Amino acid sequence: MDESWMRVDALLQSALERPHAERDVFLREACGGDAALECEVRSLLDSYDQAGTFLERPAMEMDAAADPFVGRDISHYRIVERLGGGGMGVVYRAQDQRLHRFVALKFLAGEFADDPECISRFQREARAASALNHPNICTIYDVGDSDGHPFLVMEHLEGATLRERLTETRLPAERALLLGLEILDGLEAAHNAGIVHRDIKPANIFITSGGHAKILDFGLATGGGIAAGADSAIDQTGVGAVLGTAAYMAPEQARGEEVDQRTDLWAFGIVLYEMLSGTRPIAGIGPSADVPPAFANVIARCLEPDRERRYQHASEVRAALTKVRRVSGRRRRAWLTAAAIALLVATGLVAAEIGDIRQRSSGSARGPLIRSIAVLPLVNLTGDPSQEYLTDGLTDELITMLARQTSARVVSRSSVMRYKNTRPPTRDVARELGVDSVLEGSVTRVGDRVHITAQLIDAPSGTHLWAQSYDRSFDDALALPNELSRTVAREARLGASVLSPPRTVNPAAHDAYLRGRFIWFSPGSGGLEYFQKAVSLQPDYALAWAGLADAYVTQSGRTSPLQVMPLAGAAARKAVELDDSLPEAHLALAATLFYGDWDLKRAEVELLRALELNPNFAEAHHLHGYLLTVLDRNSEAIAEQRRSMELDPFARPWALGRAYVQTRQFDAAVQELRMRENARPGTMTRDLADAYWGAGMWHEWADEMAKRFRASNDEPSARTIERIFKRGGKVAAAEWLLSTIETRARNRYVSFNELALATARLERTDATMAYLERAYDEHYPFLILLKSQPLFDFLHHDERFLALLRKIGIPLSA
Amino acid sequence: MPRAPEATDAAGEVSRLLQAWSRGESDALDRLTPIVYGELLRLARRHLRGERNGHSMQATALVNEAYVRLVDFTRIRWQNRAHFFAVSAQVMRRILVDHARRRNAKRGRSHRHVSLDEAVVVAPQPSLDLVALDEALQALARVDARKAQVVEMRFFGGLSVEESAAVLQVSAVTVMRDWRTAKAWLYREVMRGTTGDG
Repeated sequence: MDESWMRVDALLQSALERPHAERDVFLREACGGDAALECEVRSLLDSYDQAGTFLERPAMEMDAAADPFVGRDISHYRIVERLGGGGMGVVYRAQDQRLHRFVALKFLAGEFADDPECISRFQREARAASALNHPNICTIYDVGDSDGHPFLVMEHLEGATLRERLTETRLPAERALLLGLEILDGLEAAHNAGIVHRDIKPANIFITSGGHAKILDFGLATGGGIAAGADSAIDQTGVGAVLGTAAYMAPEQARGEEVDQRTDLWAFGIVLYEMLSGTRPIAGIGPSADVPPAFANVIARCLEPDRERRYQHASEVRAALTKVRRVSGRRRRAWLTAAAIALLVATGLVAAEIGDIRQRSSGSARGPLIRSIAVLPLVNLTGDPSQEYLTDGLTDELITMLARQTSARVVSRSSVMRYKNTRPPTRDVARELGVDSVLEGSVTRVGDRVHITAQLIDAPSGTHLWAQSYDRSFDDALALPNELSRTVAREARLGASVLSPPRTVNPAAHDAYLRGRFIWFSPGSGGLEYFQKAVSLQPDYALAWAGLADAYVTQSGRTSPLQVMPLAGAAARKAVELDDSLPEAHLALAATLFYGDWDLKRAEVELLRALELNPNFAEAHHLHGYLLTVLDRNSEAIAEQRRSMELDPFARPWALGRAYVQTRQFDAAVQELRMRENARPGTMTRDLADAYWGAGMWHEWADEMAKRFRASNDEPSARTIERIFKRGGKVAAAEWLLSTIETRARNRYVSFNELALATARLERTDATMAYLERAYDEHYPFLILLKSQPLFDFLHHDERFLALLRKIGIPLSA
Repeated sequence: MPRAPEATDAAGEVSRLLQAWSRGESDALDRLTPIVYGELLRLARRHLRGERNGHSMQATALVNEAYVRLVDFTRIRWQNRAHFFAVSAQVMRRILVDHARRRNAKRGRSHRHVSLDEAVVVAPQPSLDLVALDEALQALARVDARKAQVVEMRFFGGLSVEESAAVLQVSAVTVMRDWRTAKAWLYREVMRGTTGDG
């Protein structure tokens, strides 16, 4: 591969990852005047934009679409292309050579075409149906025969079937209403002519490009009044079609009883429901919140199992819907809100999927018992980098849900996110994270539909334990992590699944929350405005209030803690008030009590509650460890940090080492931190240097400091500290460090705590105390850890220091 | 249902060859290809001929069927399945392109152009000239072999992104990136060919 191609490729990728508006400027700058390069990348960008669905459907499917019938003349029709094939027949677009218009030709499919009984019924019924002439019914022009293969000549329509329309998105209520009224018009005309459709379903309703409904295949299923036994149901719709159609089948039809126009009205009820919600109703579960209440009543009446209690005529349904329409004119606003607030209730599982999984799992009940699991970042296959927040958000929630609902050890977010852009073989990932199973998957999004695949892999053997894909509307997809985690918990026998309470979440608020978390987790830890948006969209959204509290706490280390901490506290209290069962809410509250109010007792109560709700909550174990060091419960503190690192090895690789430093076990700290640093160079913060200092390993300390300067590309400082240490030892080096910090503090904000640490290395009592008092005045949040910092040990006999500890509320050592 | 003995033998052979190939024994691929080719061709012919059965055929379904027939999947890990699909993708490409070439020859070029123009007017997805694509893909392979492979696996073999990634031993993200560049490149190449023809 030559170098110029690699540049073209890299630039194209970078450009594609930017919004359209920024690409122009980006390319101009990135190509730096290399006109040929810029031209090539631009040409490929244009080509990419034009390519659309090019290659997006596999070749074999396309080849089936281009079959040998195409190009042939049948009677006076020239077949132009294949439009599609259903259970019943194959449809072609053809040109009528006499009338010079396009028509659709439909041939009986496969097995039916060879059955004389079928053929004669097909012809008889088609002739009856051709008598129907109505704008909402696809007109039949003619019935023909080609070498014993009968075919229908029908009105050629442009547009798509309702089935195709519904795979992209559900319809707005008003649109569904208008289409519903048109379908009813068509049904009424047919019923008046004594013809029952018998197979009303979205695939049989065509939406023309002009936006009107046309019922297809009228009269093909049966003539009015002909008894349809189970056998003939298979005969007429084809084995493959029975399954799809069964969902729309009225009870009397499923029992094989005689059908009449009321059978069509049942199917119409389901179609209407599906247009409004994007899904079919599930028996035993109330209507989706997407279905406005005014419609729900009409649908319920269509779906009366006893047809005597249903609407008796299409005209009655139409009258009821017309009333809905008048009401909607007045109450449109109320409606839109009702439609927007979707109930993301975990009980809304699709029964078929569960059944499918159960069936398969019963076959492999000897699967391994899983004790630990890592959820790898779902891969964003939307082709749109701006959807990262969605894939990361779903990953994150999946982790949280699994941690809450199972007894297994679930690796935390920050540790798995390392595999977002690099994906070593599954087995290596499992080894690095110390887990025996891995859950991975991908997300694609087409308009309002979200397609998610997930597979659970047993790490030692590399075998698939379970796989499933889900196709949901965007709003419903947000409820998927809960559903998925339960399924995985059950499949992998991850221990008892605790039922989490159904939560009501406004999708727009949830979306804002996910965006907030995405930003919060990324370097720079922002996200505040998104959490604010989420709570303003849905004021009773507990998780978003917890996120808001977290964002404020994070900010408090950088801006004025006195201003921000009360806001954090209020948000956290609100979160707990709204949902006492939410571990995130209790952790957020604990953090504000710990860092904001320096209230150790109440902070511990909240932490214990968070850990009771989610025993696998790494972040909560970590904070609990800090709290325990303040309380001098050192061995418990070490155990908590150890636990937090087991759950989340990469989020805080320094956590255990730091706990050793805080408990003055410097040798253990050096050993632990060195081991981590060797495993992943460059991941330690100042902890290793602190450990060397505590252990009195001055040379190592100086080397480590130099290394840290080099890591931040500050070669001059690295050389300076090496030189100064060589000449004057640790005191000279510490003096130089203090002077650089003081210089820095003149130009920009440096916390008083940092200045205090620099003077503490030189054991300058007055200066250190002065800085610490200033830190207290600005309520520096991390002062709660004051006693745990060994550098201040030289002050432990100073009355001022002891008074400061008391003021903060830190218990003095016995 | 008992399986025919020769099917079991083939299954064992194919499974063994797949394992060998994924261990890096490249000559295993040479012995694997004809077996897979034979089976896929048989299945594909059946489906391409069965124009009246009304079912649109998907590559994935076809390859799945071949997989079930050829591989003893109790003995094989999922990564091997991906390798099988990769072989199948190569084979599918050959079968489909040959099929398209023969069909084009039968119909004559002028006719093909007429139906293509019309297809562009109505069909949201104009049918694609597989022969032209195949030529473009060969050209792409000379510039960037892996990108051509990604297209072969996904477009001809119906492999998912993850499966392609497993075969190529790169991350799914890399596969997605390759796919995007390849798609842009191939589209440009195919369109150039079309307009160049007149």
